[in-house]
Amino acid sequence: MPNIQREHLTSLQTLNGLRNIQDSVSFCNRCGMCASVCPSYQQTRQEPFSPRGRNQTLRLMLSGKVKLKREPERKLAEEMVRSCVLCGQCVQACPGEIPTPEHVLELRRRLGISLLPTTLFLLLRLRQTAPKLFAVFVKIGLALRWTGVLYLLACVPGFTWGWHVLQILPRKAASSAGGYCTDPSLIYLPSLEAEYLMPTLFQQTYDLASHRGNVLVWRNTPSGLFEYIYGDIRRARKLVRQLISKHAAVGDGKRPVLTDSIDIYNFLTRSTQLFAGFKLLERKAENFAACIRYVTDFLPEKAPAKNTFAMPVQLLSGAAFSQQTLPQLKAQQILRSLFRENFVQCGYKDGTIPPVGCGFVKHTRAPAYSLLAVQSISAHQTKTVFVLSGLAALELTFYARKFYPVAQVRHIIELNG
Amino acid sequence: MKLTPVAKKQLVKILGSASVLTDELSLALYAYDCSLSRTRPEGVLLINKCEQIAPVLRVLHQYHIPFVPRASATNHAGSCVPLQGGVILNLTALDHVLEINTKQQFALVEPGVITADLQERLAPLGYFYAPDPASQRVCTLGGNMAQNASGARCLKYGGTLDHVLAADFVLADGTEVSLSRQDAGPDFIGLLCGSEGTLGVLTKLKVRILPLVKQVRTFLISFPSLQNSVEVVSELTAQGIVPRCLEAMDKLTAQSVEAFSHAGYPTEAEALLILELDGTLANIERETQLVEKICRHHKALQVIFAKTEEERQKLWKGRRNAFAAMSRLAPSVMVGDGTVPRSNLPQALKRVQQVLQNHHAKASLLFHAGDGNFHPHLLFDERNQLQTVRTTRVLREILKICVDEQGTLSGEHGIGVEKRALMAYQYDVDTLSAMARIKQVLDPQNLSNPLKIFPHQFTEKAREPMALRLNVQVLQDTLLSYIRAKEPFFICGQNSQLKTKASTLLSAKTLQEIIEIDTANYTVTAQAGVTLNTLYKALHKAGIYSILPDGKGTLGGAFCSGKFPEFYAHVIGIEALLPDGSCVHYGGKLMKNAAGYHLTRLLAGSQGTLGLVTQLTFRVFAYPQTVLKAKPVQQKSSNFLWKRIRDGFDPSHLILNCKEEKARA
Repeated sequence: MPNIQREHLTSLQTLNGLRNIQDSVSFCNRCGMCASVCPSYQQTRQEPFSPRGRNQTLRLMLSGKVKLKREPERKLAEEMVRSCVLCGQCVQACPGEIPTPEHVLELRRRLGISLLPTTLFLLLRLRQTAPKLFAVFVKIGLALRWTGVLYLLACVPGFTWGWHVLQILPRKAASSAGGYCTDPSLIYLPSLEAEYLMPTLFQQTYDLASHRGNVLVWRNTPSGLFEYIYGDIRRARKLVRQLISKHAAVGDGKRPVLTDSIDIYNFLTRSTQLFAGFKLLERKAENFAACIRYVTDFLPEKAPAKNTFAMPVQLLSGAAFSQQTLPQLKAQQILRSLFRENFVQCGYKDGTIPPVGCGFVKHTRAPAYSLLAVQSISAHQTKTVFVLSGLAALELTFYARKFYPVAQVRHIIELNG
Repeated sequence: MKLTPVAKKQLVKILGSASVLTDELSLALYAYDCSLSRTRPEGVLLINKCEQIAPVLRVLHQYHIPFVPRASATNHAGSCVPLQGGVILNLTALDHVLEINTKQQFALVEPGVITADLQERLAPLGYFYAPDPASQRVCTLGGNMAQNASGARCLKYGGTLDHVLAADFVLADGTEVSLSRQDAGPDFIGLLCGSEGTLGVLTKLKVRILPLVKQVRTFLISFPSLQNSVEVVSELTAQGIVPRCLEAMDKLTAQSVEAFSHAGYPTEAEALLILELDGTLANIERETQLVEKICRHHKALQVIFAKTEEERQKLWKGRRNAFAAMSRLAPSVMVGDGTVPRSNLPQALKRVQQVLQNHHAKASLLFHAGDGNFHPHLLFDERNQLQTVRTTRVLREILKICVDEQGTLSGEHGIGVEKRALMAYQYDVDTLSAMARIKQVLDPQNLSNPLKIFPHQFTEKAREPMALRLNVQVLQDTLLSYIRAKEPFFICGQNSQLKTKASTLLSAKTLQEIIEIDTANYTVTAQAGVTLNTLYKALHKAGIYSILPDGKGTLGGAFCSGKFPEFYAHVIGIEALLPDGSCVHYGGKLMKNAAGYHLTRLLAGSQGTLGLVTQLTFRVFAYPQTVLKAKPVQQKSSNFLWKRIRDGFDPSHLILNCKEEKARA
């Protein structure tokens, strides 16, 4: 398989800075606070499917106490890591902020599990190697989807992942237009969905950024997030290195890099861990991470489009790795000050939308987890749900339409009109 | 015995193959709880229905396979660790709330229901479940009962023990038992609470729910030293103020939880108190003034209270996550839960701080200050063996200090495996033997959570028996003479309703002393033969109040006859002579005690069938209380557990009752 993980990380970006993986996992004191919020534990009520169980599995594996080479241990371990959607609920619930999603990724790498369907992997690779061809593929794909031919293709083995993707993709999508300039004051790194599937998201982010001056759009520039989570860590590292060099070449090398996806933000701000042990690269990555911005950093205090949303509103801040990063807290703060009593504060057990295109990759698991999010929305009877990434918006829109059509799903950028 | 293929086959037949796990990874993941202990079981049984428990236990009994019931496994004492191998019964899937009855104020639940889930279900109905362990978001009601968990509100409302109304239970041999607080005889529900799964498995619980309190005021008070904060606690108690919650924490704890909860804890202060008052608005206002006055007198730096419900929840979020937040500071945390009488708290704290200093141990301190229950969180790295040994030694010293200060090893976490060696430091051989006999009677094959609670070879290691008062000694001698002569005898109190001409009596008539009225702790210790009338007068003179009525009967009679079941919750210490001539001592001036089986509850309402209660310690109040009304005494029934325990305690049936006397005649 071309997309099997072959390399491991040595250190992780934790609350106390870079920490050796063995150390990081040992800091879990098994209090179990994470279990009650984990969507997979809520469904199974079994220890292996709790964040605590996953942490302990990695700890046991690192200390050589379990081998996981034979059946049925291996099967259970695989099931355990596949069932984690990296939603970061456990990190939010953990008072020690143990980075369980990172531990799951490490476990996945050590087990050598391939999660990304090969066809999807090749398609994404095409985005890096031949971006123009990729854009053509997307256009053809969207056209074929309109005709219904693609639904037939999704029945072919190897393309079954496409079935769910076709369900959640928007009906109309076109490649978005963007700017290029030589002396930008801001760089915009669009997510794949903004670039190809959600032109409005691209346009709105671009408009927001352009208020700050000249904007340089990094087109067809993969962030490495998908590769980090589903693919090869070596490739992810290479892509981030490319980004760092590209960034250093713009202006004084300190231009802010804006992204519309909270997942990309979370990944890039913690990308230092990819270069642990390489001092120079580590420093460069640190500088780069300090320049990453999310749309909430630029949203005006008084959102022009406030009155266009049905109330009450809710924020589902599900994102890869963590739900407690600064932009997520800021988004909450913005919504609370704008909508006051009409902003519904989520409880600790409220479901969240699986991040990073979970629906693309784990299409068999996505419905169960997404339904937890819809249940939470319907329990609060919210009419507008804000999310922080385009993929989350696509995924949740599909399930909300199906099970709770009263609720509208919006990307936070839409506050800007 | 091992989990043999034949036994496994039978278990698969009951549970299905997907629910009997024996793979290496599953075994490793059910080997731990929140403590440092880890032992792999031989199998994990995923119980999906309550009805499966009894047949499963019958199979395990048939093949002599030990088992450990477990739900969320959040306990700190190693109670869920299968020390003798065997199987784990995973009860987390039994998470159904079967009935909520607001009219009769109870909720019927399965043991795997998460405590916070029940609270969430009750809140919209205007009710709440009083026990609120810090881990309530993950711990289960069954686990709460097994450990007799309490929490911050325990000070006012009591622990799980006081809120379970009925329980369905399966003994280790698969016998199903339904228990209710309405039953005549000993308070077996009280006995099962805190038994740590060593007596069997719970299948259903009926818990008391209470109407939500409308007026609550939560204070955050900071102090320049920890000593100041505990002095405030002692004085509040002495003034008769019973806050809803009274929690204290030191600077290190405050700093680490503030980083997580952003509750606004002042991180520069050396100590914080979180105090919550409830009741009528007028009462709260009156107590607020008193609290402020006392705090200022003890150099409080800041006295503020939460203005909104959100602020209040934030304050509590910080407190509830204190243990877990320690993972910010060190990879491993060892937590103790020693409890001392509230008046001894400042002294105990001084000694504990000295121990920490002597050993250069890094620790944060957290208290359920109102109960005298404190949690030292010792920070270390369990991968470093030397550190682990040193930390274990420090904790042992701290717990010994608690026992020396008339306290107990455990106020709420239980004994499990981590503190069992110290049980011999707290209890004498008679008391430990009585507890071991309960276990022996109800689980003769020692299958249910074996090797927990009791120290190894305790007969040699147990502490010296306490010196008995002269009148108790005389009674003990009389009892021993009856035993030697194999002469059956009656147990009676001062005004016994027992009409017999028999000369072999063991009477509490001589036990007439009120030993101590402690107005600092609001406890009274008196001998069982003291009349309620004498007691009433003595309390009246001291300006304190009890829930017992003025009357002719004796204190021992009120406790043992079953006339005043509500009084059981107020009894915190006991001394009793058992039919074998041994004398047991349990509890004391402690607000809570989770070390070993609740002997107070076993003897409560036992109508003299299990022994003679000689002395009781019970809570009293600064303000008049609603006095209990006597219930008609229910004559001894053929309660299955009662009969079994009686047979264990008094195998030759030397203690007689009226029926038996008639039969003899």
